[in-house]
Amino acid sequence: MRPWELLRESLATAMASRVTSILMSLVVAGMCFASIATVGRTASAAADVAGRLEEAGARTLRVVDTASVGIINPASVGLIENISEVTSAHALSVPFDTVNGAIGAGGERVPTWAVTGDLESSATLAQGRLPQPGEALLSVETLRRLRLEHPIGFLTTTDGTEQFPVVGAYRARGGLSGLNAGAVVNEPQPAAGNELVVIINDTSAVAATVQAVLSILAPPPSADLRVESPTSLARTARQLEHDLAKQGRSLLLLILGIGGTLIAVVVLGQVMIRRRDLGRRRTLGASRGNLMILVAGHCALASVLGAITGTTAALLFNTAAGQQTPLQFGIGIATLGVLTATLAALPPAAFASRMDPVTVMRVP
Amino acid sequence: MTLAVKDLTFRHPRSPDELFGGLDLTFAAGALTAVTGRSGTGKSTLLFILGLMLTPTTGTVLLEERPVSKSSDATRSRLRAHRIGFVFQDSELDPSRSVLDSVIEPALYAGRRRRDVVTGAQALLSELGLAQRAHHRPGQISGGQAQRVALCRALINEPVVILADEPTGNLDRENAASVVSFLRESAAQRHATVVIATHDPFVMDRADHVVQL
Repeated sequence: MRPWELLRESLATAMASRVTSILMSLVVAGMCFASIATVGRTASAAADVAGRLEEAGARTLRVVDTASVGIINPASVGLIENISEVTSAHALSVPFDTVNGAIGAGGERVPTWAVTGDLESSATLAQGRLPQPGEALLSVETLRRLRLEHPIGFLTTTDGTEQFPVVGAYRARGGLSGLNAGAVVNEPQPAAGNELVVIINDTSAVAATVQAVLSILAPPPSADLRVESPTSLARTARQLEHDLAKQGRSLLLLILGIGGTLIAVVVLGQVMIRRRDLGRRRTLGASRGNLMILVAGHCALASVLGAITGTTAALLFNTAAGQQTPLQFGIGIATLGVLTATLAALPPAAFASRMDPVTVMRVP
Repeated sequence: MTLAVKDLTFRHPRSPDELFGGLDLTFAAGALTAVTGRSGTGKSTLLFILGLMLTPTTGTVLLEERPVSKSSDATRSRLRAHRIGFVFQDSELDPSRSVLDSVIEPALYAGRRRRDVVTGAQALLSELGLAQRAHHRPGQISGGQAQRVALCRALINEPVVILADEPTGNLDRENAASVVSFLRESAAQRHATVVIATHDPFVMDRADHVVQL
């Protein structure tokens, strides 16, 4: 038979056997609905957890040079920035106090850090411009605390020895969010930093990047480094993702297994009901392959309808429940549902093709 | 010689009895042969063997002088679709399909396109006075009409062999006469070999040859 005629015959059979077609559609719709409503939610939750862990600092490495041996310097920061898995690297000085230069020593003290590294990679400029050497930025929070409308004027150290013109305001993010409590200055002559903050691209690269950073810093025996590594957090995040994915896979396999079994039973029932029809087709010249395709094709067509219905209903259900399931996931599950149903229909289809037409046709 | 059997025997899997006892038979082309015999002598079985639905225990079936009874299932399916037409006792039309679709069905198994055979199917239906019934369902036509539709279905692929198992068994005399007469005409006009399994003297009287099993 020609493929188009096979499809046409399958469709005609599906239309003629409405009850079994509806049953097959319902089973596949149920499969898709259950998969998306459960596995989809698990996947969504896994993505949510992974996202939160990423935001929570699972990618931030902190190295504090407590003995001030000077290994956190502009040169090492420059090298660390060039590691392919590093998003940003900043060296921070020990914070020192500054005050609003217009008020003088009696003014509110602002914790201030000298920062080495590309500030824009971890902070957003809210007003003004980036500081040149010797200039300062206030955090938006500090600006508000100092009751300043605009980032103007200058900061001065409490002993009055250094002054830093204020040229803008920033909001720090991620690993540098602690800088929102004060101000940053661009030191005219950068010195060694006290703390190194490194943001890593991906939690999966944390362990290797930590090793690379430490090898660049190459701390001497006299160094007393405190390393706050996100390795264990990253490992937990990976494990959690893995566990959730595994749970989702098991659940999906269970649903598909149950659905596939039900489909096989329905198709077998259909074959038994239609054995005289199938025997007639064999007698009139249909090959075994034709019969298999007709039986499996009927199931596949009914499954497409069920998959569309079940997937649409599940996506709407999840949306109503406040859980956004990606459309691609829905399409994937629908495809999997149709494939499972078609594969499940193959054993009964093979049985149909092997039935002895003579025995069937002899039955009065 | 279109159809012949040589040294044919057949034993049902669960039966100790052997049928046909080494039957040698040639069925004449362009003629109607009636195969008759008591119940259990294997009339229908012979038809199924000739139709390549059953494999003989010994001996062979020759179709257009080629031994075909032990061919692969795919080859036998292809031969059934292209070279053999079947008529069953109770027409065996798909109740969910139109009369026209039923006639076209074997042509699809022979790998032809529906649109290529619609005209031929309608012509056959017209020939048997069923043109007005083309779009009816089998449930909407009489038993005699259904059997005539089955005849059209058997002829759609212009087979060289037409096998009919008790085709008049469920018909009144008028319809039986019409069916037998059409089979005779088909044999003559299309030079086809027509074999009917029957125990009906009415059919035997009208056959060109009668084979007693």
